[in-house]
Amino acid sequence: MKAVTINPITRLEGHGKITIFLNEQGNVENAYLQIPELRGFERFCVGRKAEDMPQLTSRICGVCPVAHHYAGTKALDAAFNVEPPSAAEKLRELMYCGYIIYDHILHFFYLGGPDFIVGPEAPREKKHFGRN
Amino acid sequence: MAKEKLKFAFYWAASCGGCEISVLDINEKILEVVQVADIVFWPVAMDIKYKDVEKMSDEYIDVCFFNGAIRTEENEKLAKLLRKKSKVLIAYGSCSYMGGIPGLANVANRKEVFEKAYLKNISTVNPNGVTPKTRVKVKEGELELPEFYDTVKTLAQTVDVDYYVPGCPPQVELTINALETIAKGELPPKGAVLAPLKSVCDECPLNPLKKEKIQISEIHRIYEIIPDPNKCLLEQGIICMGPATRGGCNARCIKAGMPCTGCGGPCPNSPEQGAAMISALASLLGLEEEKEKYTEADIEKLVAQIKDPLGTFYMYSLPSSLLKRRVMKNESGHYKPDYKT
Repeated sequence: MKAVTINPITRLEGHGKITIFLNEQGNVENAYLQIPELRGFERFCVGRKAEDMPQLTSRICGVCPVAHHYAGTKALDAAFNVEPPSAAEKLRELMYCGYIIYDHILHFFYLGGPDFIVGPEAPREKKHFGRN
Repeated sequence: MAKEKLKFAFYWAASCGGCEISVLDINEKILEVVQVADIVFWPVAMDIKYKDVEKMSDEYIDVCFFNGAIRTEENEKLAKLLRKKSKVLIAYGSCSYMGGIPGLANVANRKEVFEKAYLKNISTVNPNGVTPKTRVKVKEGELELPEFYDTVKTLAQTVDVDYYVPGCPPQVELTINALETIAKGELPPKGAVLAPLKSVCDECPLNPLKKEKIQISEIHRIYEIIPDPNKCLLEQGIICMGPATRGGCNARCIKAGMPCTGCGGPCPNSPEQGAAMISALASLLGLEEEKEKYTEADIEKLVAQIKDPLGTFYMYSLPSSLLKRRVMKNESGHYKPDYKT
């Protein structure tokens, strides 16, 4: 069976590979998405200090580190069985709102946006920032 | 006549993508970059594929910024490919420079990582116990995945590297400085770290060392005390990697009330970052000059206050350190390491 491979998948965070199998008529028989990466946070965070988790786990994804930082922080709240004071809650929310703005700008101008501006049919040389 | 444009490439191996974003964090300066350089490969921002890179002639790329550690066969393959296709190869960011946070996985091997991630994690649902295989037969044909190595390596442990830009991720100023140095054709001799020679302490507004020698008798975890914002964190018993870490960040974390964790890597004159910090800590605890004051038991008590020394002193630099990794038997039951000693 003929296979078409897209490697790597681009304009998103992380590594990905798509293999599409075509049947004799040239139609798609099946397609597979593979993630050819793993760093093993699940293992190497074991044995580290709890209070280091927001800092370590924010490196799961450098495109959305604030989300991971926030999740790690909330896990610490639960582990220490504490509720943050209102000022801390507000600071966290402010940080997250700032991050949402930052992330949307990033996605619009660099990652997904070019698909919508030049369209999916545009040649791939044109589908990125700075060429349009 | 306009100068011929340079050709840049950016690639991520075992990374989080933060280094890629740090390049975009130079904001509108990216427009100046594309004035002097064409970007010919950049998975996070462009649709150029591996097979397009393979078709490039050798040394087609003028400068390749390579971030991420070498964790898998694919990372290694791309490191070798991009080395061949690039005139200048820069290890950009802590992971490609020193192994980085993913390098902490050198406390384990493939078997342990797979077991934890795919089988034994509390949130894992995997009743058939499936773990990744390098080749798997499906009814339409065969699928391949890169091999996951036992040991995380740095870029320089894999291929010849020309320059290093430290940081997790590199600070905007360092990135701009590196780009400008390249654009002007003023790169220093090969092997240079493109960052100031100073330590984080030298850049830190809380640095008391100029005033008087500091001495501590207790070590605190960050949640145990509310530190005085105008006093050196080490002086208050919080482990701050500043003395053993190369600057260039203007002590950014410390200015936000958090100790330095060492992402800038070692200082130029003491390449073993963890050992440099342990030595600094020993003198802060008075173990060097006043050791007669302490019994063995006292010292043990002091040292026991340091929780997770490996994660503390080698958060970013385990693969590039003298330790490199935890010594473990490999799958054939031997201690033979899969890295050069």
